[in-house]
Amino acid sequence: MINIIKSLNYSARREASNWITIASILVIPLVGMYLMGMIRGDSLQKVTPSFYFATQMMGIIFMITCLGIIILACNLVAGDGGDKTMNYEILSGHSRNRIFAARMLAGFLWGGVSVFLLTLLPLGYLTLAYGWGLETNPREVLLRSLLAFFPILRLCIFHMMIASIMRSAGKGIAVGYVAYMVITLGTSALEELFGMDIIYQTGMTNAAFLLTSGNSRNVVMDGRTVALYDTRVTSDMIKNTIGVSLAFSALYLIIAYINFKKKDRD
Amino acid sequence: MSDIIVDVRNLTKQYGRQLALEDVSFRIKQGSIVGLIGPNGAGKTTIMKIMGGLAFPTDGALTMYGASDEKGLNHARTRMSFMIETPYEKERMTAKENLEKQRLQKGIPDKSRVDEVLKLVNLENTGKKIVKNFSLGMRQRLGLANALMGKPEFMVLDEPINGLDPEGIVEIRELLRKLNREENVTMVISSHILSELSLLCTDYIFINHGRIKGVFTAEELKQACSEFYHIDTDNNEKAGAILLRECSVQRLETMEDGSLRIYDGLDRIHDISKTLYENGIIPVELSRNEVNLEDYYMRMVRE
Repeated sequence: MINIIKSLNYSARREASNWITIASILVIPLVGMYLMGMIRGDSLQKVTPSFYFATQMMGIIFMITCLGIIILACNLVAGDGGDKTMNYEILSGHSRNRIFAARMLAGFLWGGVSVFLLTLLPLGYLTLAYGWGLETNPREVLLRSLLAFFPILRLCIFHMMIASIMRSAGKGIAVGYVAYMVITLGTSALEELFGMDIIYQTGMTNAAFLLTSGNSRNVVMDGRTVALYDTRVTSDMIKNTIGVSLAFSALYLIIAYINFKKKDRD
Repeated sequence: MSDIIVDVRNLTKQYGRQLALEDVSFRIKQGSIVGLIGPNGAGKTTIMKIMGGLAFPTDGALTMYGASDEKGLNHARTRMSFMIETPYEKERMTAKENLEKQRLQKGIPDKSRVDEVLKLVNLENTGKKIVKNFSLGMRQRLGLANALMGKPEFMVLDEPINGLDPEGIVEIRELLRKLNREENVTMVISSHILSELSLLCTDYIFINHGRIKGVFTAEELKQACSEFYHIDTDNNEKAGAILLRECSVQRLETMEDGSLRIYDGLDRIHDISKTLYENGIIPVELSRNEVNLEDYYMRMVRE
């Protein structure tokens, strides 16, 4: 299995669209910070990680960068669907189960883990540059960020399932994008029109919820008035996030596996 | 029986309502080069796909290197290599990158194997040219390079010389012959270029409409493709009867156009023509010919 992952990794590193996607995920937060600085009339130096999280920027940027999950996951799982290079894996004596597991794992490493780490990256470099800041509790923000791994896993496996069924990265990305738009617009509409609270129903809303702070209150610190944001992590939040994400991930994997086993690649 | 490395028994494959293979049985011996011969849609590729694990048989048994369960067959496939239909490569990668990908996928530790194989198939100078811009012949060579990567003991090659120029055909033929002779690599080759197969194969399997039409060694086929006399007369029906009755001809064949072929008694042709003449038959044509592999193939296919 490790050999298949190595081989997929080798070709993924030679795929320009993967690197463009990763570069975009790196650049988008910087652009967001720059625009935020312009709007506020402040310099970029004042965007601390705490401020980055408190102003919902992390959640909003995740909503954009999670498109990267779609591209990377689809490219890895079905990027060679047209070339049928999966045939070579079968012909080399790898079992179908191992091929499935290897492709899913490689897709998750590129689509899920990389986007998760890239999402957390601004917190890291902003902390190194400016320190944490005052608006949020760093431990709570870190816990929320780590919890976001689970809905990202769910989101990634959902898109890998689509790509696997479509047998084409392009079609997988197109269908994934439509699903993304439907979820984004549908969620907003349901929340606005019916006052529904949609959090755990989709991986994207779950992750965005975790990466967004709650209400704020003003306190005076060192003679300065500072807005403190609610970033508490409740046990329900942990249980629901992990439980629902794993359950849906398992469901998507089962669907993808059944489809994979059912369809002979001839 | 240990020299039998592939044993196919009563293999049947059905795609929906279409029967691609029906009760197919044959064996492949270690070190042989087997020509799989049949027209398009005969079932050649289906057999190869089942051997490669790309398709599953509907019925029947496949044993390779003594294994017939899925795990054992997968293990057997690590000793084999396949080039089935048009080789599928990563179109946007170079030949070297494609082979490096295969090297990693097969877990071959020796990195120099990629250059070695590229040289073997004469693709060492393709540089940064991506596969998308390769000619059909170059793709065939790359497909063959892929098949050679893991130093296989058994190669399954579907139309390996398709699209190659005459020089390329000779090179590939010599390469396959060398692999068979020096490294005892067993091969199953399907090709429409029958004259090429006749220069390589030690055994032949004829297949049509998903059924085996005949399994021969090269020696048996040579006998079957024997010399004959082509006889055309003013009364072929009467001539046929005379040949059987008075000339003791054992193997007589009436062709579609009514002319006759005799496969024995070739050394008595003067007596035969004399007997025909004495019986009032006037030969229009009397010529000595040979059935080649293509003729034989056409006969098998028509049956």
